[in-house]
Formats: sequence, structure tokens, C-alpha cells
Amino acid sequence: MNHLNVNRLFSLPARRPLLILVLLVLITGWLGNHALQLTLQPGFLNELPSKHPFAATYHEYNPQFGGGNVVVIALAELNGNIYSPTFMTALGDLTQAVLQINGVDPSTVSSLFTGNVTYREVTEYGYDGARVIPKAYDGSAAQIEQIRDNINRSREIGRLVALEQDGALIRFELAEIDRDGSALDYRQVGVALDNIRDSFESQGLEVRIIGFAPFVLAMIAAVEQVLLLMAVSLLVLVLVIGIKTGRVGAALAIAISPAFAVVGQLGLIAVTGGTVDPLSMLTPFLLYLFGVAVAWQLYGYWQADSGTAADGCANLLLKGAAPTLVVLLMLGGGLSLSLNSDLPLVVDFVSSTLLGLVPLAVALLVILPALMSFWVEPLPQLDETSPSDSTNSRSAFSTIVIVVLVVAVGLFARTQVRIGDDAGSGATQLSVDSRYNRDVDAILDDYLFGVDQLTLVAKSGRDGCLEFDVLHTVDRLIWELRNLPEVRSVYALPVYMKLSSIGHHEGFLRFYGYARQARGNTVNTWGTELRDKLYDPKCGVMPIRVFPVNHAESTLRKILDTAQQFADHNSTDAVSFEFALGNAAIRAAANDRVESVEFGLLIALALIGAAAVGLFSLNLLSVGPALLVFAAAASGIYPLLLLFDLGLNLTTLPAISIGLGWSLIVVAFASFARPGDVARIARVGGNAAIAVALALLPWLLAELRFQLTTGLLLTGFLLWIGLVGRFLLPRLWPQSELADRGF
Amino acid sequence: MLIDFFVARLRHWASVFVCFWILLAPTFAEDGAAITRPAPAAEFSNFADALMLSVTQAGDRLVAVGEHGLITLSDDQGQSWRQSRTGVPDTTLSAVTFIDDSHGWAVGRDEAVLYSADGGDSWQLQHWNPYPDSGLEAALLEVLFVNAADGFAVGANGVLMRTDDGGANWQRDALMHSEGYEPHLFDISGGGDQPLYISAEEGTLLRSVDGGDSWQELAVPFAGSLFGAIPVGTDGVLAYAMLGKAFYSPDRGDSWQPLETGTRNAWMNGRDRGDGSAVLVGYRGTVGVLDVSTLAVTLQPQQHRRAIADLLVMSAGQLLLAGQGGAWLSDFDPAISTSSAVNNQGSTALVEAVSAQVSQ
Repeated sequence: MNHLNVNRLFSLPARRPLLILVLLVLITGWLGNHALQLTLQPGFLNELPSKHPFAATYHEYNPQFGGGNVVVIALAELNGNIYSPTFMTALGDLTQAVLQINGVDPSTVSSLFTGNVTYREVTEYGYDGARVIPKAYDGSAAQIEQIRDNINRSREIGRLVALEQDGALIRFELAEIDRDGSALDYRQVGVALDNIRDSFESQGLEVRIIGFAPFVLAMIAAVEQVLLLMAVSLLVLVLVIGIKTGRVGAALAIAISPAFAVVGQLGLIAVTGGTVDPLSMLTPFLLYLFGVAVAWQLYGYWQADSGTAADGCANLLLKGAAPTLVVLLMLGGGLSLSLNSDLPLVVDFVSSTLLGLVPLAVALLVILPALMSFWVEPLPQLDETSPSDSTNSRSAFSTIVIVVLVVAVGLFARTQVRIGDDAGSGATQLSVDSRYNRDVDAILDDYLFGVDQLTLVAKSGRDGCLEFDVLHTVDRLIWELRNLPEVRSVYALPVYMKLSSIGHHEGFLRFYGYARQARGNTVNTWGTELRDKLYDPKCGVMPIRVFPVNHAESTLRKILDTAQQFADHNSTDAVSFEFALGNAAIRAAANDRVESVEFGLLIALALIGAAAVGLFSLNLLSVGPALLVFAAAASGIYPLLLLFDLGLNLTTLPAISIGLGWSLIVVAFASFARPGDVARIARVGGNAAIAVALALLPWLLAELRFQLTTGLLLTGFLLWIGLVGRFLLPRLWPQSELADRGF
Repeated sequence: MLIDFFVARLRHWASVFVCFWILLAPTFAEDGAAITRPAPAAEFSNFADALMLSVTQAGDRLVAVGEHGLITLSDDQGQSWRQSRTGVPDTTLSAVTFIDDSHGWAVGRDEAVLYSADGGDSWQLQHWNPYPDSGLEAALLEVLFVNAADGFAVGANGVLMRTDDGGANWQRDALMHSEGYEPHLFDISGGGDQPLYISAEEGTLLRSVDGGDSWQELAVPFAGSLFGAIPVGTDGVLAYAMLGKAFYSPDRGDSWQPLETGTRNAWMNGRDRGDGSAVLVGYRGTVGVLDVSTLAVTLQPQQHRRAIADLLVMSAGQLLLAGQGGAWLSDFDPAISTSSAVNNQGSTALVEAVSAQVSQ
């Protein structure tokens, strides 16, 4: 292929822009049409790594013991207590309303008004017990007094009745497959829950709703605001690029072309049958911003002495196509390593980003020049032979020292960064004072149960749960766990049995204990049923429910380590232990994975990046500086995580990945630049990073903590990359005579 | 061939051994300790999460016992506690008593009797019988020493044990034998100038005026379980029970009068305050004060709702309560109707029988 043909090919987007644009708009339109059918599909298990030992335990035991998809609605009387006809009637109505929701498993509903809630009392004539609220509820004053009496005799205070007795709750589970055999419609559940909230709040009662479904619905409800903030970011971006380049057309072209890629990406996800998890909803926009940065770099090559778009286009592609493709390949290659991750949310993020890379390449290398050929006149070519600022070895040396220091700080920070979530108890993706998290706090204050649960499983043979040795081993584990400050409480069959033994002995506390003989323990299991989920049908397997004080990684780690150590020393043929289920177990398992994904990505990007830069640019001298610049840029992310008190978790992983990928843009474009042009190209890259950082500032107003932290982290990181690109890179690059002699 | 021969001999001797073992095993079984070595009590420091069932004074020291063989000592009148676990098995300990500042006993499940000669710093197992011949549950519920040598322990299924050598040897005492049914003996009290009292199921209250050699049944007007009876003053007896019931006798148990307690919460224990009043404690933080002169009971419910198993009267204005949530000091004043617990941040293990699992 001779030079002329290359030029003809590379100027094609500018010579036939209308044809190309019409064609691509049609394709994008078709994909966009598919994208419109995409729904936000939450998945309870998307955070559970499928090959983690916990996953096997989860799938084996969750159907029997799992919390499943639990929702709790708490009703509180703001003035007074629950012992009034109005409150009791409202609670009865609420119970009926919940039973009407499509998707609710009716057998799991429990409130004071359901038949499964009883009190039991030992009297001198034997056992006395009945439903806490009589079946024939009439709301009479006498009956209300009776109910007050029954509640005081039941064990429900702190469970179904608030500690202060000024509220009561209803607890139920959602079936992932609903009555009609179709998948659970979260949106429909959301509408029903909203109606419930409105109708009871209008009666002057306080309504609190928590659970996975309301959490996800809170995320989905924030979508509009997420999109609004994205739009604001877009405007800021156009404004900043416009001011910096002085050309409105350029700003529009740079801002619009990557948008094609995102539409294409979402379309491809839809065509390949994928869905978007609410936890991944920001990632398409992150890819978009990544595209904007590359587009701006490319704009730096929109030069032609002739001033014709065709020549500008040829120049742009001649100099810009290679680094663009290298950047996209490197990002794709680095992410691909995580494609075989067993963490569905990571695979989701990686595969959707990979699907976006081809549309992004087309958008950047075809649509961008085609648009610019309409709107922007090429800039005059610069004299590339005179180095803009020459570097001497002395300043290069001091710069290397700086880089080494930066990397050292980064690596140290990396060891200090927390894995997993903070020590809070609510949802970390939502802001602390979001309605959902306020509901969580209120319920934690008013009731005794924990929101986070880690369930361990004790396994023995048939009827093992009646054997003293089995019970005692399990009980000693419970005792060890109860000694940890990280544990709020533990509940399991031995605990029930010991309490039950007190009950069977007229309430005399000193009978706290289970029997040495199995038949004695049969008595102690009276009053518990399979659906209390304290043992399996063969009475050989027992879940041990641990309620941690919070869901920080260190908390969960400590509990699991203690339990593991106990299991190592105490497992016998008679009893062994398996870990773990419950939402806190899913978190712990995900934490185990996130770190390796991030580490793999970091190494892959550095190695693949360096190799690719060297290989494709045929400029071996740039490999060393490329690695140094990448290291300096990438090192910035960890001190930032510390600064903003963010952990390395599934929420921050996409931002970190895209951020690390971003470090490569500047490096790749510098590697392919003519020696004399490096400083200018680096400056363009730096400006692009800073512009996007500015565009992300509106995200600091986000209601979703998830969006806010992503915005905060990327803003900080992009500013850092901008500084590295503008100030460190030119001093490191071999743009002096040596490099010129080499080529 | 030779190998076959040895294998055959080995088999022979093995079967002989098995036969002997079958003959011998019952003799070993008589002494429970030969069958099951009790697991030692584990280290535990989260006292506010423990269920403590009994507390007593050993000189200036306080000693409390509870679940999982947890024994705690306090040398600052209940402000701070530390665990003592030398020689202590992991089993529920129900009761503890000291006759002076160094000699004391603790009893519990598995017919465990522990003895300490150093104020509770270390313990030795005097008796351990998890599988009694009766085949019934073995649990001692109360221990009483009238002097350094003579002691009693009562428990589930009619078990009454006596010692006259400071616990070196314990003998079972036949108390009542009604065909196949042995009522639980919840409490034994009295001694010294007072008769001995044993409280039991079905409204049974027994009195012994000859140091435990013979027992006489008293007529308490109640059919349910009597959880205890304490001498009050010289001749008074306060008996307490389930359902908030309590009864007072001014004449060492000859005649009884039911008390109006104002609660249905079961009473777990009581102490004479020595000033014409006595304190009862029970479920859901219930504290009641009996004024002997008027027979009125004033309730002083605690702000928490934890079950209280035992108490000590520390001073005019302070009680030491033991129960669900460890052992804690509580302000107390018969003139004020409510008091506030000093140690409120206990955990909630007992009440928290909650399996609510909420995601996110």
C-alpha cells in the first residue's frame, strides 16, 4: 500500500461523511432501539462469586435456611403506643395489604396478625398459649388490653414489637419466581410498597421499609437523577472543551461521537441478551468519558497545512489510529483477564465494557472525523522538528526520583486501602441520610435484630441435632463467637433448646441447658418448626446465625477466622462445619475476589501496556518511560481511596478499572507521537483529563452515594493524571537528540 | 501359616478383652467422671453478654457463676469483673456459696460440684455425674453449706445430696419417693438458727428442724412451682414462685398468706435486707420490695427488660443484680418506684431469639 492509498483510505471519513454518518446513524438507531428495551435487572446473587466455597454452601443450604429476599415493614405510632384500636387496625390492614402483593410468599408473612405468632406461658395448670391477637379481632378496649397482656407474655418484644412498644413490624419474603411462574417484577413490588407507605403515612403513622427489594428500588428510583447528572456533566464537558479549544464545533464533535459508542454498547448488550444490574448502571457513562478523553487526544491531530478536512482526517488517522487502537486493545486485554472471574457483577462489568470497545473504536476513528469534517477546520500543522522543551539528563533523573517516590507512596497506600465496605450498617451505595438508610437505622434502634447476617452451617448425621456432643460442640462455637466484640448476637438450635428447657421447667432460669439424652432434647425442640429454620428435616444440619455489629471487611474476616479456627480444631466424624450463607457471607466472598481482580488488572495493564507500546510504536526507548508514567499515574488512585475513605469493593472497582485504563491514554499517545510533538500531545491528554474531571464535579451533588463516590474518585484521579501528563511525562520522555537519532 | 496363627490368637484375646470390658463397664459407669471428662470452660470476657445465675460474697470479694462454666470475681464491689477458670468445666453453673472469704462451692448441670479454697481463684471438681442411674437429666440447682463440713445440694428430678466432710464425699439422700415421679427441687435455704427449707414443684415446701435428717411438708396455698423460700427476720419466711406469686409466713411456715405483688413475672430469687424488708427479683427486670410490717410489695421495675436470676444487697441504696447481661450494680431506693440500671449496655442474647434475616 503506497502513501497515496493510505491517504485515500484514511481520509475516507472526511470525504464521504454524509454517507458514513447516515449508515452509522442507521446502525446506531437499530442498536439504540434494542437498547431501549434494556431493563435494570437486580440480582440478589450477582455479588456472590460462583466458585467461592461459600457459593456451594449457599446453594446447598439457602433453600432451607436462607434469609432469601426478605422485606421488613415497620409501622410506628408517633404519639403513644401500639395499644390503640387505630394502630392495631392499621397493622391488620397492613398485613392484608402485604398478602395482596404479587411476589410475596404468603407462608413467610409474619406479623402480630398472622396465625404463626403466639405466646406461651407456663401456669400452675400447665401450658397456656394462643395467638397474640385473637382470630376474631374486633378492636374493643378489652381486647386491646388482652393483646397487651399477650404481647408481654410472648417473646415478640424486640422482634415483631418495637422495644418501646410504640411500633410493630411485618416481615415477609419475596419469591424470585412469582405465582404466575415469571421472574419477580421488582418494579411492581416497588409500586405496591410505595402505595403502602403513602396510605399508612397519611394515617399519621411512621413507615419504615428495608430489605433487598426496597434497596434496589431506591437505586432504580435514583436513575432519573443519575441521568440528569450525566446530562449536566455532558454540558460542562462541551463548555470546557469549547472554551479550551475555542471552537464550538470541536466541542460538539468530541462530546457527541463517543455517545454513539455508548448507544451501540447498550444495544449490543440487549442484542446479546444481557441486562444491566443497577450496581453497574454508571459503567456505560464511564466508558463514554473514557471515549471523550481519547477523542480529545485525536482532535490534537486534526491538522492539515492545506486546511482541507480530507487532509486533516488523513493526518488524524495516520497518527492517531494506532495509539487509539492500542489503548482500546490494552484496556480490553486487561479487562479480559477478569472475564473468567466467577463474580457475576465483575463479569457483567467486564463483558459490557468489552462490548463497548468496538463501537468506541468506530465512534472515535470514523464518526469523530466525519463530524469534524462538517464543523471544524483543521489546524495548521506544527513544525515538529524543533523540540518544544528539551530535556537534559539531570532533570530526567530528578523526575525519575519523583516518580519512584510517587510509586512508593502509591504502593504503601495500596497496602492501607480497606477491602470491602465501611463499618456502617446500611446500604453503602446509598447516602447515609437517604430514606432507605434512615429506615435501616430506625429499625436497628427500635428492634433487636441485625440487618447483616452471616450464617454458618453445622453438619452432623441423622438426628445429630439431638446429640449432646454435637450440640455442645456447636454451642462452644457460639460461645466463642459471642465473646467477639464484632458479634452482636448469635442464634441457633442449642440456644433455642436452652431457652426452651427453661420454659419446660416453669421458667426457672437455672434450667438453662440441653439434655445429655437425646430424648430430653426432643422435648427441647418442641414448639419449633421446620420453618423456623433451626434444623433440616433430618435434624442433622443446623444453621448458626451470626449477627455482626457491622459489615466491614475486618469484622466479617474476624468472625469467619474465629469460626474457621474452631472448625479446624473441633470437627469430628460426628460434626463438621461449612461456611457460609447470608448477605454478610456474600459480601465477604465478594471481598475475597475484588482484590484479586483489581491486582490482576493492574499487573495486566502495566505489562500488556508496556509491551504493546514498545511493539506497536516500534520505539523501544519509550517502553521505560511508558512504564514509569503509567506507574506514576496509576499510583495516584490508592492515596485517593484513602483520602476519601473508600474501600476497594464492587462499587469502586469499575471506577478504579476505568481510571487505571485512563493512565494508558496519555502513555500510548505520547509513545506514538513524533519526538518533538510529545510535549504538546501530553498537554492535550492532560487537558482532556482535567476537563473530564471538571465535568464530573456535578456528581458531587448526587443523591446516590454510589454515584457520588465514583465521581469523587474519578475527579481526583483524573486531575492527578492530568498533572502527570502535563508535567511529569514531558520530562521523562526521550524526545531529545538520542530519540531523533534512533529513528 | 505362622501369621494366620498369630492373627487367630490376636482375635481370641481381643474377644476375651471385649468380654471383660462388658463386665467391667458398669462399674466404671457408676463414677461418671470415668466416662466423660468435662470440657474445660473457655476464656470469655464479654461479661455483659453472659447469663449469670448466681452471685455471692466471699469476704470482700464477689463471686458470680453462670452459663458455660463462667465464674467471675470482683474485688471492687461489682465495679469490674474478671474470669476465674482454673479447674472449671464448661457446663451451666446454677449456684455458688461461700462460708468465709476463701471456702466455697459452686454447683450446676451434670451434677457438677466445684470447690474452691482460695476465694474462687481456682476450683476443683468434687463431684461430676452427667449420666445418673435414673437416666434422668442431671442438674444441681442450689447449694447450701451450714458450716465448713455440712452441706446440701438440690436439683432436678428430686436429687438431694449431702456431705458432712466439706464435700469430699457426697451422698444421695432419699427425700421423697412417689412412684416414678421425682419433683424438681428448686431451692434450699435456711440453716443456723433457722430451719432448713426446700422449695419444689407443685407448691411443695419442705421444712427440717433437725438439720436435714427429717422433712415436713408445709401447706403453702399454691399448686404451681415454688422457686424458693427465704427466712426473713427471726420467724418470717418469704416464699416466691412462678406467675409473680409470693407468700409470707410469720411463723416459720406454719401459716401462710398470699401477697399482692402486682406482677405476673416469675420471681427467681430473694434476699432479706435485715431491716424488716426483703427484695425479690425476677423476669423482665422485675424488682419488688416486701415491707414485712404492712406486707405490701412495691415494684421497682428496671429500665431494661432482662431477666434477673439473683441479687445481693450491697448497701442501703444499691443492689447487685445477676442475670441476663452479666452482673451489674443497680441503684435502689424503697421510697422511689423506679430505679435505673447502671450497666445498661448488655447484649440481648436471650431476648434476641430473632431469626429475622434482612438483606442489605
